[in-house]
Amino acid sequence: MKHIEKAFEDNSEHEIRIIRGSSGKHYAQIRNGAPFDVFLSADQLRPRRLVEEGIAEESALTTYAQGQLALWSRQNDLQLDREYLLNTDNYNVIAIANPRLAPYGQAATEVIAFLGLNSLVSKRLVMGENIAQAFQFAFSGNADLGLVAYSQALSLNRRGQGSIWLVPSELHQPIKQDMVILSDSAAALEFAAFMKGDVVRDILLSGGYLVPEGAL
Amino acid sequence: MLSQPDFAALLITLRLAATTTLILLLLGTPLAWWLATTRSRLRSAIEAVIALPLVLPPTVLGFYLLLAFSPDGPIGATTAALGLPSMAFSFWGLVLGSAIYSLPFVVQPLQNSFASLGRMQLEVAATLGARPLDRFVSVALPLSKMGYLTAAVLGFAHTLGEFGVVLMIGGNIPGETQVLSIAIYDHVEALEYNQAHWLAAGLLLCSFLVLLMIYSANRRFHLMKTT
Amino acid sequence: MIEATLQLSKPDFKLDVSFSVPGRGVTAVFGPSGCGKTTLLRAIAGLETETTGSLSVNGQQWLGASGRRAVEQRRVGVVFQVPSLFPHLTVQENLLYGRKRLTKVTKPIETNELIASLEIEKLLLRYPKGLSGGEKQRVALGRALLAEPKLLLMDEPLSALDQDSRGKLMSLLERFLQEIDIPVFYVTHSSEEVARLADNLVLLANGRVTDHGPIQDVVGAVDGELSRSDTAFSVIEGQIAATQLPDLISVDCGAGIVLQLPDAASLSGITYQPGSGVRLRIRARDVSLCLEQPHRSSILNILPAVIAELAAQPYNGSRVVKLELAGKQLLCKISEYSVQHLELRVGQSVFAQIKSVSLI
Repeated sequence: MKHIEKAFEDNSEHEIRIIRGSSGKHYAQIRNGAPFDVFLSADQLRPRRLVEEGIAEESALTTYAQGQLALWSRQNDLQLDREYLLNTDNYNVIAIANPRLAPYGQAATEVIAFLGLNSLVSKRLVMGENIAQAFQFAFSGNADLGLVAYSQALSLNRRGQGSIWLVPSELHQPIKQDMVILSDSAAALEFAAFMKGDVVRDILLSGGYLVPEGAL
Repeated sequence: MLSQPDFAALLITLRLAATTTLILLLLGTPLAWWLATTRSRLRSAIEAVIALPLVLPPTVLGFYLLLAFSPDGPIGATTAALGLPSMAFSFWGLVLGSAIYSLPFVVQPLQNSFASLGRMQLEVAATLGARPLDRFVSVALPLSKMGYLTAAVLGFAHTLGEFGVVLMIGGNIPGETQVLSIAIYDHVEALEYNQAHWLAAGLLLCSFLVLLMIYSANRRFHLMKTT
Repeated sequence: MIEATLQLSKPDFKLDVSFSVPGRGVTAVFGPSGCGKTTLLRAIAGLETETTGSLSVNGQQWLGASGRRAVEQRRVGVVFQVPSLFPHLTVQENLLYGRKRLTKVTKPIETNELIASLEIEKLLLRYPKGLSGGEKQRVALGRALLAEPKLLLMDEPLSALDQDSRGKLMSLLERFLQEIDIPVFYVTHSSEEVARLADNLVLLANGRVTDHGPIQDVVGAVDGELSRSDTAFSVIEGQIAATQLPDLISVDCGAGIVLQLPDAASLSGITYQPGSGVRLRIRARDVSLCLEQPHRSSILNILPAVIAELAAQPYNGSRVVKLELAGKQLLCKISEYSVQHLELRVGQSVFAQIKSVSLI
């Protein structure tokens, strides 16, 4: 997000201020009149809900990115793959994001179900409130493995930390992230257009995201 | 109404608050006694350390506990060396976190209560042949009833509403570490406002009943003394 | 015997005392406020843990080369200045607090008897909260005694009381402290309490003992600290005489000496039985001397006496003179000018005019 902010401000007279927070909280704030211009959600549910409730226009809604799921361990040089995950002797605790709150968590439970690990893993599963916290559990070593966002894992892996396996996207539903434009200010429209451009596309791709087909 | 996991969260929360309060009262008593009676220079330093959880955001405390619980953290290394399971994502891990977090709420009322006793009552007891522990049990303890009540209420209430520490070290395991405050938070985040309302109301009612019980017990105790 | 050599340094005060008094009877610790009376008492009780020196009470070593005996093992009964009953216990539970902790009851004091003589039997089930100051001190005294102490320490037990309950508790103590067979240390700054209660006296000033011994010796020492002070007094024992003059009480002090004092009985409501023993306190400054017998004086008591001793030095323009009246000692304090003018010397016969006598 920092790269996107910089790229936008380099090319525009407008500045952006990023308010970070969980999607659920932002949703509640927007519903109660928070003056945001654009809402970049980590999921599709909440922006859709805003449209259904008439707070935003159907046309203001787009998918801006698609997340990928990774299996990550802070131990270096592990051969992480499907077999490693299937052999539950390999680990004690595995961290995921809360599937009710985070699309990455939802995807992680789908992967576990797909691999038939439900009963084997359920006792070893710890949940972070969001994907960042799930990553923290794995990063601190309290969880041996984490099913986390590929983008998080990738940035550490590039610095030589930990072992990573990019979970094949057919093991779970796509993790689509939607944004919704909430005001008709020039800046908001300009930013929305910018998010669909090549610059952002490259940033997202190199950051470990996929760019949805329909987004362009 | 309350779903099964919500009900489990309620039970876990009550168990966590009760266990934490009990442990804190047991450990806080000698600590508060020492603080109330010592002339050591270490006193101020210890008092400051105990008060730190008041200042430190709970999530920060939780984060450091998470690091300490990890296999190469001091606590994690110790439990591993002793062949014990890891404290992270366990009920007893939450108890430890809550105990640290609520420590000042228990130690300070006890310390104030002990300090206000004055030394005369204890001196009289000594001249009447009571040894130190006997003096504490037969004189200091009953005269500190209000202090203990305050400490227990504050410790219990503070643990009931605890969120940040549990968030960091709990792992949200139903029936083990999923407490009420987290369950409410999850409902809010998942836009399940209805369940959140029920649970919040349950938490309020529970807290109210516990406090009511303690305060009316205290009132009876006072009435007994004056008639 | 109670032998004490005690030192204790506090930031603003130093106690350094050495004395020995008999192991029975009432020893008054007397001195102005701030002289260290309470500190001395606390040191004897063992409540001042920094105390050094030695202390033995009737053969038991409480402090010395062999170490320091803990408070709870000294078996001292303490009655503090401020009533110090345990507020969470009833009067009865207070009374039995120490007794319950005795390893064995060696002297089976009749608990009920003691409670009756302290006049607290009606209070037993009450909590200390509603008791009067006098009641609280009586309970505190009973609580101390029921623990069968080897030594009873009382720190100005009357000072926090009002006039009425003070008088009442005083008469009770007078009876009581003579009956119990336990040595008592009684801290006070009231010469009346000393005169009424004490057998022995320890005089304290600035943390040091200035004089100690049997009360008559300390009180009668013409060069002693007490004689120099404004409170100098004599104590004379006698009996209520059989024949009384109207509006007067006559006290027969033996050897033909009869002292008269105004009968305040109608005020105090007390009637004195002929033959009952009393103590009289006579202030040294209320006694004056005449070389010839005065006539037609308003002063009731004019008695022939012999000068037994003169203070070596005048003090603040006055000199203390000790008289002997048929074997009794009487101090008087007169101006140095009169001593020179009348050429007073030991062995001289004089007449003592006693301006006021108090029955105590």
